[in-house]
This record gives sequence, structure tokens and C-alpha cells, in this order.
Amino acid sequence: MMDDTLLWDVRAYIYGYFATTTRAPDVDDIARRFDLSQESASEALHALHDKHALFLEPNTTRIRIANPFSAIPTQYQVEASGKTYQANCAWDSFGVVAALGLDDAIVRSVCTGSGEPLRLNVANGEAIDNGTVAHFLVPFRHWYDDLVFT
Amino acid sequence: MRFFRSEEALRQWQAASSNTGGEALNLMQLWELSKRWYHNRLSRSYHGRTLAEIEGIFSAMNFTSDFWYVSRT
Repeated sequence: MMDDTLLWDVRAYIYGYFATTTRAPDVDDIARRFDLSQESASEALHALHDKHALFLEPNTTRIRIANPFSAIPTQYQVEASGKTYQANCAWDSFGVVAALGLDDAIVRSVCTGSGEPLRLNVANGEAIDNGTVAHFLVPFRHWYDDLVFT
Repeated sequence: MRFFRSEEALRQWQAASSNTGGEALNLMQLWELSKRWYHNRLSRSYHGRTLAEIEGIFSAMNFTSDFWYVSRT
């Protein structure tokens, strides 16, 4: 079983990589960074997936989600510090700003009802209310069996 | 979780799609929740959170409806 200390280091590396590059590292990046074999780097990714610390594309070692970051383009984009991040949902779009510790950002998305483009602002550490709402459909207790890493 | 340009747009969508229920947050609430939930996500020391910590966040947000109940079973 892989050492937990290494797993948390890998997790932190992945999140730092997202923050710096807006993208997910791949298994080769992780292997190089921690001087691991590809097999061990893959094992670390799967262990983190099993803990719900991140989520891999099925049957691969490709990171799909490390909440609030998405590794693929979505309708929830965050413009901050000269970069554009992809988020997984409405909550995660503001979550990206919060995770990066930023006071200013633009969230670009669409209205689910009309498809109308939305531009939402965080400015000077405050969200600017323009009437937009975020809707949570599923009760929280049904999101995961294990809520620890939501 | 999805965005709607207004509460009225949400109501129209719910009526048209039969997706009733759920909870809606304004942007100020969403931002506050996001800060509480994600402020330390990049930290090496973040290893997830306990159910009690989740309940603490929801309590601080004054989320008291059954929607936000975190089962301990």
C-alpha cells in the first residue's frame, strides 16, 4: 500500500499544477516530480481516486476532476490572473476563485434555462450580485457515499 | 449545480422540466460558501473534512433545511 505521506504530496502537487497551468498533470509529470515509476505514479492516482480526492477518466490515469478544477472544457470558466480555468459546475466556478485565494475574477457561464451568456464578477473580495442564482438540485446527502472529499 | 440568470428563470425552468425542489443561492451566498469550502483546497495539509466539519460549514451558512442534512449513517 502506498505511503499516505506520498499520496498527500502528490495531491498537493496536482492542485498546485492546476493553479499554475490551469491544466491537470499527467502520470509522466507525477512520475518525474516524485522520481517514481509509471506504475507507482499510476498507483498513486488510483489511490487518490479511491479516496475521492480526485476523479480519473474511467479506466485511465487521466485526471478528469480535482474539485473545483476541471481538466476538460466546461460551461463554467474562470478568468483570473491572466489565465482561464475550467470549473465543474456553478459552485466550483466560485470555488476556483476561492481556492486560488483571489479577490478579483470573472466567471463566464450560461443560464441553464435560456442559454443566455452570463458574466459574473468577484471584485475586491466580494461577489457582485446581478440577480443570478445557483441551483443545487440533489440534496447534499446523496452526492457521495463518502462526503469527505466533496 | 447550475446558474440561472434570475430566480424567475429558475422557476420557469423548473415548471418546464418538472425538476422541482432543490435549493437556490444568490451569488453572495455562493461566494461565502465557496470560500468556506475551498479556501484551503490547495494546502498540503488538506486531507478532506469530517461530517462534523461539513455540518459546521452549513450551520455557519445558516443552511437549516433538510436539503443540507448530512447523514451520519
